[in-house]
Amino acid sequence: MKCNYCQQIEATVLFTKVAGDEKQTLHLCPACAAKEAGQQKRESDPQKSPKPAAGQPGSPSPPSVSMAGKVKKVNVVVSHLSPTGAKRGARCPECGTTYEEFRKLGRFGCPTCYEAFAPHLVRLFKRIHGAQAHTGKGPARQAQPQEIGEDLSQLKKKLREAVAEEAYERAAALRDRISSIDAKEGE
Amino acid sequence: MNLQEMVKKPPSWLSGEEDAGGIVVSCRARLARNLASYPFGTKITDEQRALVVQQVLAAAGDSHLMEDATFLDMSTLDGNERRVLVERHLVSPALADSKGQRGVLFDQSESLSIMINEEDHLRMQAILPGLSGGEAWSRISALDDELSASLDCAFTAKLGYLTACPTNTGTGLRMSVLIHLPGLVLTEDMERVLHGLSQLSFAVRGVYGEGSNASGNLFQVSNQSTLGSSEEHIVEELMRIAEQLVEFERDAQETLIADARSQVEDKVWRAYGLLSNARVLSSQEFMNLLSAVRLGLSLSVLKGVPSSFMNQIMITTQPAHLQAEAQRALEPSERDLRRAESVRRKLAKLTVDTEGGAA
Repeated sequence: MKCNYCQQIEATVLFTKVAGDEKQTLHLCPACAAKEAGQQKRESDPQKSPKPAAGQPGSPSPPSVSMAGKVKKVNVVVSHLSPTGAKRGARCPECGTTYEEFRKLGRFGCPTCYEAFAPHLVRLFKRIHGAQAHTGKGPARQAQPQEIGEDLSQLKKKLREAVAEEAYERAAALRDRISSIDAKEGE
Repeated sequence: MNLQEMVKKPPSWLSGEEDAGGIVVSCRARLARNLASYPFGTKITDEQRALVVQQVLAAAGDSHLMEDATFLDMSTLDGNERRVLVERHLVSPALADSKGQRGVLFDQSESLSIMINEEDHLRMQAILPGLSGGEAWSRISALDDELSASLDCAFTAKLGYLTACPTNTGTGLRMSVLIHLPGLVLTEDMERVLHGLSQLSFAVRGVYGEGSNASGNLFQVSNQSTLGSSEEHIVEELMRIAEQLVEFERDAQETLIADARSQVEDKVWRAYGLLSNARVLSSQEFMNLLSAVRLGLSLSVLKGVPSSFMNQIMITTQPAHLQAEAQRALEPSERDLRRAESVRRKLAKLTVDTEGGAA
């Protein structure tokens, strides 16, 4: 979704504006969200906002009387939809399953989906299983130490590439795999 | 073994006598596995499905446990034949109803089986009578070891076995126990027990798995979490739960007999009388009567009916089995006639002391 204000940039911030009894939800880009938040702050901050026109210090005036009263109770809730806009559109490079598709169907398309959606899976597994790591058996055909060595250097190369391409999700998944192999070898 | 031969007799694994006074019917261990080089069920192509079948069959060919196994290609079976396999717990309704290259491989006793191209490439199961979770697990684990000698399964050190559904990730192990709890249902304690089980993150379903209702007071209890615990731990935990349920059920049965012996005996003998004489039996009525007779056996009100017999007629009087035996489609009313006849004939062969157990 494009930003409700500038209509140009992808909206990544869910902005809730509460003015009096009215609540408004806006999908904004970070820049417009920052601008809006700044404005809200000025309006709600008595130090910076203009004094009530009617000027009746001490006696509470009904909200409709003054300008300031209009935004008497402003609450700004800024919550990020996700840390990066790209994450939401994560797509498995192997089978083409998108993260949205996975959420809808509840099924991965292939083993690589686990890497592609890795940042989302930590919480998902925690919720389903109350755990995040396998402690059970593995395939009878154990990987040879040499294979692990090769695997590790390959993974590190892939990680450098991913970082260079700014493919941070893939990088995070690779980093997790590398650290798990490191941990295993350290045992 | 062909299907026509199969339907004439119940699965032979059911002929073993169960322990725990007939309360625990069976235990099942299921493992989900996928080949690393192909997409899962939602994304797999027909060509890839065929390759998966080929590779699994080749691997099973080298397996000792699957030495004399039969493979049935689902696409060569008609709808009723596929339902027969569902009724025998050899395939899931999902495998029976889906499309494309898929099938099931099973050993002579029908205790060990592998569904190929269900949601996951392999769904292996070991099913045994009674409180036999430990043995079911070791059998399926042995088969898993044999197959993984030649199959490259999708596995990572961190997440374990990768499965199509995140609810199976990790061990891919679903342990379940089929348990008969008429006492707890009659004393109206079942609600409380179900609540307790859900707190322990164990799922309770009907006999035919997901979405099916508990008929005949039969409940299927299984682990929900597959990640983070070792397989042995999952098995132990479920067996501990099953033992506890058996204990609760025994208490409930004792309460029933202490408070209402004659009513309970009457209920059991009436059920036996109906099963032995009825001319029309719907499957719902049959399951309820069977449950009452089982209760009678468990309380020793009634003697001479082996619990394996009960389990077997439960399989062979289901709709697809009746239709396979008749070799044609039957109207529900025709099935009810045939069900009554089949049960009557089989019970007539047993020697039951009809005065036994009377106070």
